[in-house]
Amino acid sequence: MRRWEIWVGLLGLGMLVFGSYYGLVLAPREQYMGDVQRIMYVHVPTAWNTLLCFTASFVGAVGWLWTRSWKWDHLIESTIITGLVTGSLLAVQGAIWAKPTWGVWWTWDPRLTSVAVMVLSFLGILALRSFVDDPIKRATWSATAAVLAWVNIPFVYLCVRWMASLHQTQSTPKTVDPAMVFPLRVNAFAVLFIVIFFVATGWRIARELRKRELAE
Amino acid sequence: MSGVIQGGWEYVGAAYGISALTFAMFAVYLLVRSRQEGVR
Amino acid sequence: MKSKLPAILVGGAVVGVLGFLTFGSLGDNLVYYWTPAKLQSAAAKATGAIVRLGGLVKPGTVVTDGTVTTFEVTDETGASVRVRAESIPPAMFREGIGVVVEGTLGVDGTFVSQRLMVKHDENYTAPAEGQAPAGSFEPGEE
Repeated sequence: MRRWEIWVGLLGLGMLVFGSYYGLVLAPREQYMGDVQRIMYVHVPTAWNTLLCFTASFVGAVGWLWTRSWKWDHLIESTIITGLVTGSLLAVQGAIWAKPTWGVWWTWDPRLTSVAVMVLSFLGILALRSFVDDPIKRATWSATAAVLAWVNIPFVYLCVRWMASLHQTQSTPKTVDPAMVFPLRVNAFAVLFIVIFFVATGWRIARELRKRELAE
Repeated sequence: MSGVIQGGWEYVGAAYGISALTFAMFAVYLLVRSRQEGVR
Repeated sequence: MKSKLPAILVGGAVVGVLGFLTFGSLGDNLVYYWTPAKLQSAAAKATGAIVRLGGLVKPGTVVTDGTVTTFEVTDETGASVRVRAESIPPAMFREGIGVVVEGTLGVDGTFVSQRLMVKHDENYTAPAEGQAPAGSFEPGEE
């Protein structure tokens, strides 16, 4: 089936509109954060899917190093670009939420610092890719670097439990009002579907570029 | 010192606005790029 | 062949910033904040240096005088440090909430801060009464 990802993306878009409407209008405001808490319904789905996206880069990296099949290198390229877009958005959303709640736009706590390291390290891999001319060397070097950069991802997720930080620890359905859990879940899948659309489209572009490059 | 945030819709609007704009611009970039590169 | 200069510049900047983050801001400051007990036991190290102190605002200790707020920050050991915050507190600031203050420990044992941050925990609860439009839900744990 050609271009199936467009339908996945449209499904994600529809769900994002519905989930955001629910989160902005129907869900209750939070006891202390008031309406500002509604940022959670885009911030947390963006966070989960950014970590997932860079984990897909890791899968692509292991796949390339193991099998030397180009499809994995296409996956590395498309997931890194997508993860950088959502990861940068994540930091901006977080800053916008932090200012009225914490009182600052940014602070070097373990979560924010490790997210900055994550975005910068994958940005570095993308830069590396663009100055290596040999496609095979490029794939192998960036796969190796992506495996190394991925090591930080579990730390990003778990550091708020391990260390003193300003960022709150993960919520569970027990710590979140049920009327807030529902739009959060809808938007989590909405952003997942949108990210699948991004990655699949980027994958096809990467395949086209490699096809031409290898034919030269 | 009520401990409760009053209002703040401008922050909510900014967060949702920038998210929608980012997703839309990246989608357009990818679609235009795949057309340029002749992706079928 | 396309120019590689932008890529090399980005690459160089990334390596530089990663190095700074790893060895600079994290290296000499491995904990994000000190608890009151830790701060007091290492008072000599904390005095005069910029550090962060984190804990809960002790109920009944908050005094506001113009733009200066004084209160005590406490932890589960019962230790508490007097804080003089010289910035307007964020809206969520209240007695009993978690805070992180950035500043220096004075020789008199008062922590002077120009940066007061409020910590929100993982609980998200609808207000007990009032405008909750979503119909039936149970209040979360608090």
